[in-house]
This record gives sequence, C-alpha cells and structure tokens, in this order.
Amino acid sequence: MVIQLWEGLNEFYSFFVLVYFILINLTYLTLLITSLPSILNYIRKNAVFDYRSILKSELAPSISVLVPAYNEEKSIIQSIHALLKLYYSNLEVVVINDGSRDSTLQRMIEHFGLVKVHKEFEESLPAAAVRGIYRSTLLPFDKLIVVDKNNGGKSDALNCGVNIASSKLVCSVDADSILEPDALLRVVKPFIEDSTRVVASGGIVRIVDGCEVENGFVKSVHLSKKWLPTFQVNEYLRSFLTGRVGWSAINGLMVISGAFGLFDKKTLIKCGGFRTDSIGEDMELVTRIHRILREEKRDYRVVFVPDPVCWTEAPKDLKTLSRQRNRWHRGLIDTMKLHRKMLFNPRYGVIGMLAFPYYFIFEMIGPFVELTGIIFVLLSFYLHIVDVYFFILFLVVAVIYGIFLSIGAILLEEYTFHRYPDPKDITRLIAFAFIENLGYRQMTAWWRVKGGFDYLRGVVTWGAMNRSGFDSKSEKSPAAR
Amino acid sequence: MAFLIVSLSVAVLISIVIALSLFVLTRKIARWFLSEYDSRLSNSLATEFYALILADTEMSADEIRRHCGALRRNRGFFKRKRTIRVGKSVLLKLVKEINGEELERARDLYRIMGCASLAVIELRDHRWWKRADAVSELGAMKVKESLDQVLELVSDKDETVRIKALEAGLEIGGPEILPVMIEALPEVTLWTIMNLAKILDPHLRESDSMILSLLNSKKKDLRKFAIIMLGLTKSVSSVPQLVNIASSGDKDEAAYALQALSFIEDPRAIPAALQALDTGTPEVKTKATLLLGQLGETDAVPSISPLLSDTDAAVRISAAHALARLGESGLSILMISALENGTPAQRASMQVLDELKIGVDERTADFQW
Repeated sequence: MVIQLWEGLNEFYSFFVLVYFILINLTYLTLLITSLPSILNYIRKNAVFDYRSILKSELAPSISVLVPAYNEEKSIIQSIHALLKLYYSNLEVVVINDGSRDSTLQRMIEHFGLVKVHKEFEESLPAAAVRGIYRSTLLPFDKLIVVDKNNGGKSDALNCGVNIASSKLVCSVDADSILEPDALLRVVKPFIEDSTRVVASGGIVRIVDGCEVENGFVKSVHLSKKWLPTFQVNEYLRSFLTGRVGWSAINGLMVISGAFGLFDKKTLIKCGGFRTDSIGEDMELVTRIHRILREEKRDYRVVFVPDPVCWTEAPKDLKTLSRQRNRWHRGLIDTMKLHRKMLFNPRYGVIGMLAFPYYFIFEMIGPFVELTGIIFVLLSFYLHIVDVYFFILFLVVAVIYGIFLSIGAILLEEYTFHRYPDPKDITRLIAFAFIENLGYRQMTAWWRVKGGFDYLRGVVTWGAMNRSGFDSKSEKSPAAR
Repeated sequence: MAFLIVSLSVAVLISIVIALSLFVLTRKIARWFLSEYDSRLSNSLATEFYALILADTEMSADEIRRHCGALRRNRGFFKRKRTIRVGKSVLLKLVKEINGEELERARDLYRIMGCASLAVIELRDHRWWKRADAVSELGAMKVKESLDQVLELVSDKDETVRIKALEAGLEIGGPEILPVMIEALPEVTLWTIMNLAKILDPHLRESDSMILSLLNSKKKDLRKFAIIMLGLTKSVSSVPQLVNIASSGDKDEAAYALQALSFIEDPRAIPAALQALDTGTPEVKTKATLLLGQLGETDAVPSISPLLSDTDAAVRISAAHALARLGESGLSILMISALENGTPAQRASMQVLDELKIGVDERTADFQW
C-alpha cells in the first residue's frame, strides 16, 4: 500500500520535475540567445562611442559616489584614493562611516586632513542621526565628503549618503570593491543616451581573486588558483552576461548589484530609498522602482551595462560562501514576499508577467525542487521503483544542459570582452563547468534551501564575510559586515 | 521511444558541448598566437603600398587602378577578400596624418578604388554600424557627391548614425548646412547635444548666428540646445534674447537661460534675474541667485537674503553662495544668519562660511546644467 502510494506520488513528481526542467532550461536558453545580440550591439556602439566626450563635457551629469563603511580601517584609505582617481570630472565621493567601532574615521581624518564642517541637506530619506560631516582642507581631496553617523546598517548609510549627495546621480559602491578607472564613464552612458527615461543602471561584478591588484586598481586579470572562487567566476558569468543582459534587453532587470549601481537621485528619493529592514536591499529597491513607476505608468528604463567592471572578493571558504548564499536567498524571498502583488499581474508588464514569475518559480523555488528531487530519487532507489535507464538519461541531460549553459556564458565572455587573456584560464573555466555539477551545485542548492527555512524562522542577520583583501602589497583587510 | 528520444537529446547536447568547448579553446589559442602577427603584417604592407602610391604624384589614375587591381589579385600579399577592407582602413588612417596635395591624392585614390560607391550603397544597409561606418568614411574622404545621401541620415532612427552624419555633413558641406541638419534631427538627446557641442567647437565664430536662429525653433529640445550652446560659447550678442527667455513663462527654459547668462556675465541680465527671484520655481531661483552673485550685484542683497530661509535646500545654499560673493553686505548677512540657532538659514550660511574657510569652491557644483 505504502509502495503504491509512493509510486503514484513519484509518478506525479517525476512529471512535475520534467515540466519544471524543460521550462527552466528553455528560459535560460532564451536569456542566453537574447544576450548575444544585445552584447554584440553594445560592443559595436562602444567602438564608435568616444568616452572622452563625456569626460570633457560640462554637460555630463554629476555623480556622487556613495561608500558605506563599517570597520574598514585597514582598507578605507586605499579605497578612497582609488575612487578619487576614477575618470569622471563631475564627481564627488561621499564616504559614510556607519558608526564604525574601529578607527576608520580617525584614519580618514588624519590621512585626508579632514575638518568638521556644516553642510545643509534635506532629510529626504529617513536615516540614523548624523554626528558630523567632514571635508578636506587639502586641494587634491576637495571632492571628498566624509559623513560620520550612528550605526544603522548598509541601507541606512546609503540613505544618509543620498540625503547629503549634491549630484543628479548617485552611485552605490561597496567599500571593499574595486571599480575600474573608466567604470563611471561607462555606467553613466545610458543616462546620457536616454536621459529622460533611464532611472538606474548597473555594471558587471567580477571576481578579483587571482588578479594582480596594485594601488587599488586591477593591473592584470587571472583566474584564481583556488577552487571555490573559480566556481563562482562561472556563476557570475552566467548570471551577469546571460541573465542580466537578457533581462535588460526587455526592460525586465530586477537586480542591480549593491556593489555597483547608479541611480537617478530624484527617482530614488521618490521611491523611498533603500529599505533598512530588507536583507536583499539591492534587489528590493530595483523591484520597488519598477513597481512604483509602472503604477504611475511612467516610461522608464532600468539598464544593465555589461562592461563597467566592479571587482569584488569571492568567499574562499565554504562557511563564508554558505552564509552569503543563505543571505542572498533570504533577500530574494523577502523581495518576493514584499512585492507579491506583482506576480502574474499584467499591470506590471514584463516585470509582472515574466521577470517576477521567473525569480519566483525558478530562482526562489528552484533549490527546493532540486533538493526534493534528490530525496525522491534516493527513496525511489531504496524502494526499487525507479526506472534506472530513464533516470540516468535524465540526469545526463540535466548535467549536460547545465554545462552547455555555462560554456555558453564562457563563450559569450570570450567572444565579447575576453578579459582572461591566458588560454589556461579559459580551459580551467570550461573544466569547472563540468566539475561544478559534481557536488558544488547541490551544495549551493542546500544553502539556499537552508536560507529559505532561516527566513521562515525570522533570521535577519547578514552573517560575517571573511575577506582577505585585494592588494598583494597591502596588509590583510578587515572583516566586513 | 522515450528512451530513443532522450538518448538522441543526450547525444546532441554532448556534441554541442564538445563543439562549443573546442570552438572557445581554438579561438582563444588562435587569437593568442596569430591575431597580432596577422593584423600587423597586413597593415604594415598596406601602409607601405599606399605611401608609395601617394608619394608618386606623377602616377595617373589608370596606373593607380592597375596597382590596386594587382593588389587585389595578389594572394601572397594578403588575403584577397581583406584587400579593400584593410586598404580602406589604412587610407582612413593616413588621411588623418597627411595634408595638402597628398591628402587630395589619398581622397582620389579612395574614389578610384571604388570605395566611395560602396560606402554610398552601405548608407542604406539595415545594420546601423554599417551605415555609421559608411557615413564616417564619406565625411573623412569629403565625397561631395554623397552630400544628399549623408544629409538623409541625419534623421536616421539610430542616434549614433545621426551623430556620424552630422560630423560627415559638416565635413563635406561646411558650417552653412548646419541649420538644415540640426532642424532635421528627429530628437535632441543629451548625447546629441554633447556631440553637437564638440562638432561645433571649431566653427563657433561662424555658427553663432545659426545657433541664435535655433532659439526660434518649434522643437523644445533644439531651443534648449541653443541656450546651452550660447552659454558655453559666451555669446554676448545673444543676451537680449536670453533675457527674454529668462523672463518668459517656460520655467525650464528660463532656468537654462539664467544659467547661460551667468556664463556670459552680462549686467543686462540683472532685471530678469531679480524678477525670477520672486516668481520662479526653486530651480529658477537657484540659477537667478547664482547669476546675481556671479555679476557681483550688491543691490540684490536685500532680495537674496530672504531666500536663506527658503523651503528648498538648493535655493538656500545658492543664496548663501551668492551672498558670499556680494561683498561686505552679503558676508555680514551670512555671519548674522550663522549666529541663529538651528534654523535652515543658519545651516546654509555655516556651510558656505566653512567652505570659504577651508577653501573649497563648492559653488561650482551649482553651475551644473
């Protein structure tokens, strides 16, 4: 009786998984296919686009780079120096010391010759109390503003930065990330080309592990010799070069990475800024922007630009990686829950009918389907009711399809930006596209499922991220939040 | 049956994966070993060849044509299908470096090779990048016969092509045809404005009256562009018209006009700026206060000082910046306001006094367009 019941359940579940598998892979394939012409078109435009025109022009929109900093005493000076050297004439750098417990503020005061000043600003977004605003007395650092405030978290610090920023556009940057010198010129381009419609744009985030970093800039690009960062390079390529480019092409982009995103300040304020009680504040903000602007029936665009690069450090141990994936998944569920009325709601156009359902069905539920599938298979083997041939073939199709998508993303990277000059690196990436199916994918699925349960339990912590710092010549960087 | 279908799918997928992997790797390795060598060789040979032809001023068109034919037939030189492409790109590079008779000869050579006709055909290509390349080429080579076709592309659906057509049109037809081209633009985005400013830069003297005429255009974007350009070029002759716009009903254009006037620094703008302080939007008020500060109009102090308590923070700060530039009377008001406790006027005044103290010229941020 139990076996019969199990057989029935197994049959139903197998059918469900098959349909799910076909749908998810068709979606990924469509994204891959739509990405290619978009990227090629972008590269062709770049070939005739003179970025010096933006650099020289008095008409280029002003940008305030917002850098929330919490206990960053070891790396903050170098980060600020690198940001002040970015190629952009109409720029100010606003560093928000979010109640650091170490000597982050003191180090900035001493190094940049900061003095406390008055600054008039409107508290358009709610944020923790500002303790002081500092400016440099030294001419080379006149574009630097340091805000000291009570601790309120990253979103709170960003909101405070938005209030103080005097530019038309605000760019959120993580203190522990590295922007390429021309990243701002590239990410601002959509705002210049379509100034009336573009409200946000984001650049690509790449893994810095293995690269040679000097004075806050990436000198040469290499793949890490370690396994975990290499797996993540493949994941990032899939996510950014196929996923985000594809969604951006149909104005369905729901995420702009918190590590590097450019927003129209007025729109950001109008939509309420960064949510302080959200774990995935970057995705939540972009989804909210879509929601509000669609409700207002405004003609707008949220754009992904595939080549302004923000380099970030990847978790190098399983514990840190598990915490990161757990948090990402909690953030995703939180966003889905907050904006659930958009799901399959034609009022929200592409977002309501395609992007939101994609994130809900494939990104949010996906890990649960993957893990329950494994459990079902193991139980079916135990009860001897599995069609072994069919199972093996299905497994092989699934794995090879996954490899196909990964290699598609590597091909796209190699065909377009080819940032990894050494053929050995590309060979390794292809090899890792095969290996990742033998445990890594299942492991990340488990962490995400665990994140889902943690969300239900009400866990709201960020989880410490152990980072070792970029610069081979510098000392080890501190632990971030 | 199901088994067969799934087996076939597996086989197809495996083949695709292997093929893709091989393609990626082969491409990478090939690029690594060959690309640099190949392109350098082709370019250096072609450069040598064209330099030879260009140097021989006695060479007739027929002889050049014969040489080009030989070049196309000679497989050992470089691949036949690449001949025209590489040759053309070398010529385009050369015209940037040569002048006088040599330049004219290079342009003739371009026509003789049949490149001009090909470029004109490519102007109708469905791919925007082909149209953009073709129109740039015709501009660089000053192919006068193609002017009409180039002008048609000023209203192309792609912005990059439009900008390239503007550049090429100016190159071929000179600054006289600029008004026609600008009026033909279907939309004027910020990117177009930035490029137009760049294109017009060498022709500013001749184009002043043309830009002035754009102030009467029916297109709002064009009027905005004209105001910005007149400001950037500090056109004194445009002051009466800009003053009119600053006092007109359109608040958006008024703000731009006040901004342009603050670049020109002409005292005829003072009445319009004073009027804007009472009637304008926050943006207009901001620009008007800055203009008065820029002109050093000390009589405006009583009109500006109430704006230190305006509801808009940008207006308060610009008022403080303006007062800081209006001599003792302005500064004393700032210092008195700085003594008030916790008021918006105090915060704005303190900010500007601090900026003066530490030597930061924050006022430049207010002069953004």
